[in-house]
Amino acid sequence: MKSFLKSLFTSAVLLTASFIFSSCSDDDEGPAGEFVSGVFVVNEGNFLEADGSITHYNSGNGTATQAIFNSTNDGSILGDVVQSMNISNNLAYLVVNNSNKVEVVNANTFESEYTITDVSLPRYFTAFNGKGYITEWVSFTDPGRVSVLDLETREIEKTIETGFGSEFILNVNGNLYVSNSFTNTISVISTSTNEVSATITLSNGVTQMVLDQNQKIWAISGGTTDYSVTPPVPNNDGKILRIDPTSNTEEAQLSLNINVSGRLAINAARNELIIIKGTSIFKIPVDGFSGTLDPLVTEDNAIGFYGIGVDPDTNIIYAGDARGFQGNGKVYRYRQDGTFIDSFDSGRGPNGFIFK
Amino acid sequence: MRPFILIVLCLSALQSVSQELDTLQLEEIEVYGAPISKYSVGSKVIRLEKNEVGTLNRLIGDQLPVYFKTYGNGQLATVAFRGTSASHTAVLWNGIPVNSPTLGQTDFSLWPSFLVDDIAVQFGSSASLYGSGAIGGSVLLESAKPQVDKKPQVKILSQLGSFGQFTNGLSATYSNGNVTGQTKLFHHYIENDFSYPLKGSNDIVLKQNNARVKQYGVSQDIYFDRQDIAFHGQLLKNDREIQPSIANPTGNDQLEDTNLRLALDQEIQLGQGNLNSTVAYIINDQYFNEDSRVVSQQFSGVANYELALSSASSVRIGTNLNHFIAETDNYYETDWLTDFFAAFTFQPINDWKVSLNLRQSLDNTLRPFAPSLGSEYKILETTKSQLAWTAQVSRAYRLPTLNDRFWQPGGNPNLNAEESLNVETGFNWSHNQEDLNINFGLTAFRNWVDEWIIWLPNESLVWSPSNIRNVRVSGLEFTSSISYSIADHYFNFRGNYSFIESINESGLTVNDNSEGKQLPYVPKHQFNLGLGWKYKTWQANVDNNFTGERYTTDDNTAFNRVDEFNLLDLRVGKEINLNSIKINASIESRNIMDVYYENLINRAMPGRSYLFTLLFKI
Repeated sequence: MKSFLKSLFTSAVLLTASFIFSSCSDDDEGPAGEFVSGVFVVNEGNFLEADGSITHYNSGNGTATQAIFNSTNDGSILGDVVQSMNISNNLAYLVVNNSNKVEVVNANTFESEYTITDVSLPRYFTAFNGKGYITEWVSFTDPGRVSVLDLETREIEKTIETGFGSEFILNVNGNLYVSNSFTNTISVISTSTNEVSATITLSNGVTQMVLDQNQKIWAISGGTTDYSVTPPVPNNDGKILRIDPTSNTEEAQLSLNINVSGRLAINAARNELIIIKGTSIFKIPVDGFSGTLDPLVTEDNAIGFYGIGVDPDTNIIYAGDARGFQGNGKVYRYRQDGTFIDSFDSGRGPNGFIFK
Repeated sequence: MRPFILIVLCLSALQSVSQELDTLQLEEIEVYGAPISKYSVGSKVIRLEKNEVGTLNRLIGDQLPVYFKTYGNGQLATVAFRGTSASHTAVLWNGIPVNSPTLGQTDFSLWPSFLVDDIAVQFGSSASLYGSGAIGGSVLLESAKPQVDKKPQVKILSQLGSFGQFTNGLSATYSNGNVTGQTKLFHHYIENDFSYPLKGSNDIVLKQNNARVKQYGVSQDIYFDRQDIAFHGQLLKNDREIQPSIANPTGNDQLEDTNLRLALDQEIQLGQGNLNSTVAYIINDQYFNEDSRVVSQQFSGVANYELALSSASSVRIGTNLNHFIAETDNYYETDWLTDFFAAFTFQPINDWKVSLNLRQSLDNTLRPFAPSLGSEYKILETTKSQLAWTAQVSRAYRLPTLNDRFWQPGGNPNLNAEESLNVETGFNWSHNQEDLNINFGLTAFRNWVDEWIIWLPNESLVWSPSNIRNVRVSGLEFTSSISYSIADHYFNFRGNYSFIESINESGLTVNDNSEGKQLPYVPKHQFNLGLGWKYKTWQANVDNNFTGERYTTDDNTAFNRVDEFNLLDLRVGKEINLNSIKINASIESRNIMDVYYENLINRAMPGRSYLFTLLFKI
């Protein structure tokens, strides 16, 4: 029975793939497209409802266009959970976790180019030197891995085992830092060999990472919860760790003394970290953190911030409110001093922003 | 679509007219006299035709414009009565509330119609009669004592259908004059490997995987006639793969449900009245991926004393005591719930019936008092026709579930009960003569539901429920049935329509996008049409089911929407008499137009299917 279903599925996938190949456009010098610039909001969608989507926001005229993948591709669904998006060389890579796929689209038109389906619980993508790197959880019981995609042949040519819960991937001068989020480690992959060249053991497990102006990596640990008591209590042990990519060691840690979201952004000058908890946004200078967290802004109209990003050109802060997943989300925009600019509607569960 | 052709059969018979209470019953329809409450004056109560096939969601949804949110073919099916949500429907089995104490709702797909004798549906708030949850509607499932003489009667159901469907049922009734018994066995299997078109493509067809359903059931009823004691028991097992969304073809989750329900019922005369007592024990066991388990146990007792004050008036008082034990991976908790209730019905004047019902629930605190007042007035009455005007006003409530209160992390023990105020009024016109029966009903209602519980992430980033939403539901329901016979021909028609606006009056926060919007998964428009023709031993039915578009999120955007669908079913049957064996054979095609539709967003539903049924009565 299993093998029957498996072969069914395989043929379905092949069929799908052949359709997408045959339908992809081949006019290389075609129009620049509707989405040449602007902000993309990654809306992960409701788990199991396959309603993840991408919102395009034109910061020039303030127009938000919803579900651009679906509308451009004849109502194809993106799936769930759309964990992340990455743009490289005019292609956008949409990583869909629970649907076990990466949709690759033209970053200017959002027309589908191809779909990568031989991935297992994929999380994040980055590209370097003609290769794409996809982190995958694989499962909750197997070690995570990074699949290496040949961007020419569009085939996965190799998988590199990292650690459990292979999550975020950050490229620092050709070395890929992969946070193994179910563990206290970061795996470092050298792109010259596509092998794990080092494993950094940290004081805490981390998720997202950014690179600051001093070429230091900052990685966030949202904090833990004590489930041994009833009701469970947050341990208020959120931290941000500083990692030196030269020595591959943890150099410093900032204790936040609260639990925060596992998402991390950095301002345009790359000297202030930006994090969220509940309906508040906080800023932490990379040099000289006082130890006390005061909200930069608290948004009374929001239910809970879910995604955070900073436009590297305008330095405007984008914070996505998932509205408890009851419906579509809302994105609030602030200046660096916390002044509210405006807000716009997004799709369901806005978890991140891509600036183009 | 693979055309399967097999053998058919079955069924009791006309699967057509949904009947309003007092209208004529066709002899083929096996409806027994269910004790539908005489205290429901002013409410719309419909007794459903019995159909041996399928599960309760299909039985109810086929005949009434009631929306079921189903997660695929044979998958989880919850009801949204009159614009409310799954937990706003009370479900009673032989008078015992049987909504899951952990979830506060019922999965109707777990309940094969074959194992239920009598089903009635009451629209609107009736918590005064049925307790917590009866805000949008109530479903009353009853065992009915079979009418048998000395010779045992046996029914054998056998079905084969598309997508690897195979169903068998056996029912035996027997009596020795003192003890009457009914035993039923049921088995259903469907591979569910139907095909569906890939969204966004013109010609790519995918095959559903991981949607197999296996269902087993046994029920036993014993009636001790002299003592007026009855025992009812049923054990259901449902072992299914969870149909994944169309975006996740490799999903491989599975779920095992086991439900045990036992009840012992006694009626004794006490003074001028009757004391009816029922004790029941219920287990709901849900096992996900052979890993995580939720087991609830329920001990219930209902006692009520009823006294006829005159031929037209009576009073009933009683109490319902429930003890719940919930064991989950996230919490272990026990709880008590006690209800006291009283009901009066009387006729102030000849053509006017009134009922007044009261209920008070108590768990860890005193819950909202639920009174209701209903009236039915015969405006016109001739020998053949009558026109009645009904009206009802009622308060209802839903208690927070054990999950709402105790789930770790996030459970909120301080939740208030949800409360509603329901007003409705309607007209019913019926005309009955020998060859023609007509029934029209029109009901308008409004229901304000406050303190609606929503789970949201709190400041500590933990999901937790609180009393947030205020909803105003307004609606209009039209029901009609016509039957006509001429010579050997018998025709019937059924047409039911509902219009529902279920509006969120309070956003989650100030200026929230959900304010003033229709609740998710509440279709504004819904109708069922049925046409039946019977000629000697032949019969044919056409059924049409329309469900309007539904939003999937609280802010009603064009993207988060499931399209309307219109399904057409066709069925032809013949009755064959073979010596003393009566055989009903039928062939039916569901979704004969082969429409692709979804009930829950991005869950495929099957296209055209065939079903062959044989029902032997010995």
